[in-house]
Amino acid sequence: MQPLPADLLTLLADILYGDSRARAEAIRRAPLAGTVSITFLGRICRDGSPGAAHAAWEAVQRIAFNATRPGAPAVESESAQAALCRIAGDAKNPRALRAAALRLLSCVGRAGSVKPVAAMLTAPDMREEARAALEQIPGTEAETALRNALRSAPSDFRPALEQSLKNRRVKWNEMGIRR
Amino acid sequence: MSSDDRTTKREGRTVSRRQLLGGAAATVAIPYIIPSGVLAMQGRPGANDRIVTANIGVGGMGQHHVYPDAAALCDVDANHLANAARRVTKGTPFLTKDYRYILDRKDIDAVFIGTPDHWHAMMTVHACQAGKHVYSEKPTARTIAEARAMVNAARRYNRVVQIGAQGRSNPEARLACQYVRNGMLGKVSRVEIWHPNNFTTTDWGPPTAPPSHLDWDLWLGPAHWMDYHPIRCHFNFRWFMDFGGGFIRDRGNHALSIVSWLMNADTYKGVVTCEATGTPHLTGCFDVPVTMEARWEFQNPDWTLTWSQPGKPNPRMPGEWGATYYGDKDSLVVIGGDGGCATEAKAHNFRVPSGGVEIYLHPTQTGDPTERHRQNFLDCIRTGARPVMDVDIGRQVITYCNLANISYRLGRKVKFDMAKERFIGDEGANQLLSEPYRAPWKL
Repeated sequence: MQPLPADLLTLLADILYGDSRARAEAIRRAPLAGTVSITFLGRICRDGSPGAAHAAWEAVQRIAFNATRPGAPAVESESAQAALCRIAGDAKNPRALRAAALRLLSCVGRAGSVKPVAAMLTAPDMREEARAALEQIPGTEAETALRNALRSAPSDFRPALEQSLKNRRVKWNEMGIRR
Repeated sequence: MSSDDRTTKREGRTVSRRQLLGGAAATVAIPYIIPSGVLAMQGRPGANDRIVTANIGVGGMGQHHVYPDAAALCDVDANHLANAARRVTKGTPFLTKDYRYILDRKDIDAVFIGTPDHWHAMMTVHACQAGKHVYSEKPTARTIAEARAMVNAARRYNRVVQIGAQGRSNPEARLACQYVRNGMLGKVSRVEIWHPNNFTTTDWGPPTAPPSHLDWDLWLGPAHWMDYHPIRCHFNFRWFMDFGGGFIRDRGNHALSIVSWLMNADTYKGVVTCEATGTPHLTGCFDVPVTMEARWEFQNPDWTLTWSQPGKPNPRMPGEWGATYYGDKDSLVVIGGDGGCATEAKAHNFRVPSGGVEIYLHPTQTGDPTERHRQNFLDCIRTGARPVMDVDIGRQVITYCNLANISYRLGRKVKFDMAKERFIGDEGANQLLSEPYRAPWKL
């Protein structure tokens, strides 16, 4: 097992054990620790004290948004999305954390997150957040995922999927369903 | 079963469509309520006709918009509803927790929306679709796309939509506006706003059962699901990005409305850059930053606006919040910018020269800016004129506020094209122009 980079260790220590001032500074510096931190911070969100969990989530957001800045290497964005998808898809995580990860994916998600997010459209407790995320993710992949879900979705979920497609300017006759 | 016998469950009881329509017909039969269709020429009441009003969201600021003859009141909190009903002394208002019941009523001409911020856009759009004129409290909207949808609805359905940033009806702000617009400061290159910090808490808001008098699901409406805790609800919703967005979107709507007015930036279609930084709130469940420093740069003419939270009051005229306008000839302090506003003696003493810029202040008997603002709204319904804080001005102003929150969340400077309503060279930022709604809510 590789040792964790020093930036990451400092970040995690400050988030876990620091006071508000130290945590605020750690959040500010969080992007320096890289997208690899998201997974570790996600564990603090799950298992940490309310204060540590709250600070950890602030740091996750800071890292994720930084990874999608203009000109950022694609690998950064992909790595952030993958980590968020793992948090959202891990049934051991509290529902609120999984929902928060999907909400963040609605802001930073790209084609790479579509498949794992779409898989959550069939999970009764997460489908609503997954739908909302796909509604916002740019590109044809998200649109296709919503269309495909619409074909097999239970009747109580179809109106929401239709609305998401409509919000993406898909016309009724292009949704691939009979009305 | 015929379609008329379909039942809908609202108000905690089952109501058939037939019963609902029957009830509505009975209400319309009350003599003092005159259907707008009878009064209207092209949907407008005449100069002396009564405008039938209703209120949606009657806690907080919303309760102050309840007229003694309000025809209907709506709130998801039964306690708010009961308190507001006591303000109605002429007739018995129809009470409901679901605003769609109010929009269904054909006798209501106008609605005052005083709900938490995450409802403003949706209710405004739905009200316009239902043919109602709208006075919606500030902030205009939660996202840039929502504000655009509000303007589109107002124009498409030809409705008067006034935003409750009543600084535009404040005589003091008007004096300041005339002073600046007539060049008394020279070329203004810098405006600095100071404001206290956002509120803080040490409460983490663990999930709690909502009280029986509150419909939490309807309170949330289109916003993402969040478990109930009192710290997330009345008043404190301001300290959550999902609902209020902090002072920059709350009082910021007032403060930046005055700046936009004085700087003649209501129709600015150029590029704005914005950079906002802040200290995250880490002692409790609020998620807006405790402090915020924001800086906007406008072009052609070039000027800079800053928001300092906390900021240093101008010692010339200290106040809880306000702004200093710096020109190449002089500077001017304006305190507040909502119902309460004050400016320096030089602006009071200034007389607009012949051919100078005279700023409109709606003529009323009242000295209260909020009532003046409401009167402007009601009179515009009669005349078809645009109100002083028309929804398109509200959209412009709240866009500036929303840019700050977006820049803060992204952790970077953003560049926004006010004409195209898109960020320039930042697709990540463009993904934050709108937010998805919780089903089944839709604009």
